[in-house]
Amino acid sequence: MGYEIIAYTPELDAAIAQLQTHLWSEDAARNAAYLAWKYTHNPCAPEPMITLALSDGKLVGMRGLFGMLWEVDDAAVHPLPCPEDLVVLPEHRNRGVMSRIMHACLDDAARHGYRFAVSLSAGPVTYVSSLASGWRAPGSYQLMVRQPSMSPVLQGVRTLLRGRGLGRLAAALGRRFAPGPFAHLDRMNTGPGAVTVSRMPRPADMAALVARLAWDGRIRHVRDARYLAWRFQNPLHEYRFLFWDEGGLQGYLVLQRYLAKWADRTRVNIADWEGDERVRAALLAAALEHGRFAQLSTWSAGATESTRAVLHDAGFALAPADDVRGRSQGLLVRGLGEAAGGARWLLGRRDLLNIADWDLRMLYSMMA
Amino acid sequence: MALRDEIRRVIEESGVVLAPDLDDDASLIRSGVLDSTALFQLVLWAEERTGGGLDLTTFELAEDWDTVAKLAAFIAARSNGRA
Repeated sequence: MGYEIIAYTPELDAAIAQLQTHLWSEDAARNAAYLAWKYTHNPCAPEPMITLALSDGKLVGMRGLFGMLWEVDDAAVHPLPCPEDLVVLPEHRNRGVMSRIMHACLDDAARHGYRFAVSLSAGPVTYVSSLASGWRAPGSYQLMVRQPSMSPVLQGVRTLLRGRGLGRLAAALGRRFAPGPFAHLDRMNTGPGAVTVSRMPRPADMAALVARLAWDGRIRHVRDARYLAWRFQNPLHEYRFLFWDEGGLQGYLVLQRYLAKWADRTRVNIADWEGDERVRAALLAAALEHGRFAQLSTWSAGATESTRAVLHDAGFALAPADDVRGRSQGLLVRGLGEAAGGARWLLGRRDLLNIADWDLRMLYSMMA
Repeated sequence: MALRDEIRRVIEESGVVLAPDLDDDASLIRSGVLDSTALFQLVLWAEERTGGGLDLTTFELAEDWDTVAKLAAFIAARSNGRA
């Protein structure tokens, strides 16, 4: 079967939204909104870079290059694309089409002058195939998870019901006593002391805070007001913002959850978290006290020792990485064009292959 | 079952149709015969077959596993007598 590899044109938007019902969400309209948000309205990329595969004129595969702007040391800004959204219709898999799309996509990035690509949202399957196609792995995100919530009595009842083949009743019981992940938090209309919770970001204040706080120069994504205004409009996710005001914004904590039916909709992630140590600890304490989340996760690879200690004290523990699934979640970097053969892969003075040179946050990935 | 036959079985169970006369030295990864799902299934099997703890960053996946013969040699070397 022959495949034609083509570049994106807006006429294919509806077909892409339908194709992505295999990956993004079951709702094509939501997918269309996600496509426009991520690739057309992204302030970090001048134009959508999407590679598509056609078979007999029908769209059967896609790989996107999502634009990102990174900064290091002296705040020099480096655009690096992030390949994402790889999907091929099931009946066209194992025919080499994935490989062709991926190569075409990266060749396109090299032609646009990019020297490196980064991947932050690869699931285990894509992570493994990436290692087989020239990507390198600086390290794991070191996911930390906190799973307190359900009372032992309720947990025992649910286990008993499941054991008797009453799984649906057990699930319903769980939903009754563990409602939507933001339900408790949303009742916190006026926060304790300096903390408030909001459904909307404050891009200008948040960007000003990021610019004001000390930074050690490690590789991080640019978080200016334009980026932050766009970033939290992701149609596949929902966010809550905890703000600490004390003569102006002194800190924030961004929480995120998934909306797609097949995603784990009980899971909440800490997408971003800023402020001095005292303020960050207070924001986390407020989130835990008022949110009562069934499952709260965050990356700890980029966190300082003191932040890890705060997380540990709050009940977070490193997620198990016993098998290859657990170990196949981490940052990936690939050289493009001539840079691929370079002795060192540097961004400014920072080593792209050294996880310690990255100030990683879940916000930078599409996991949050 | 011989290790090479076992490898072929794992690959075919993930949906890849291998030609009966496929040479043990024919490229599987670089040629694109294995897609990401098939490769992942192979990794899961290899980890179980070698007793766990497979660190994919310590070798060149595309090179060291590119053919049935190479993969069989890899598994045999790491199986500590289980192959």
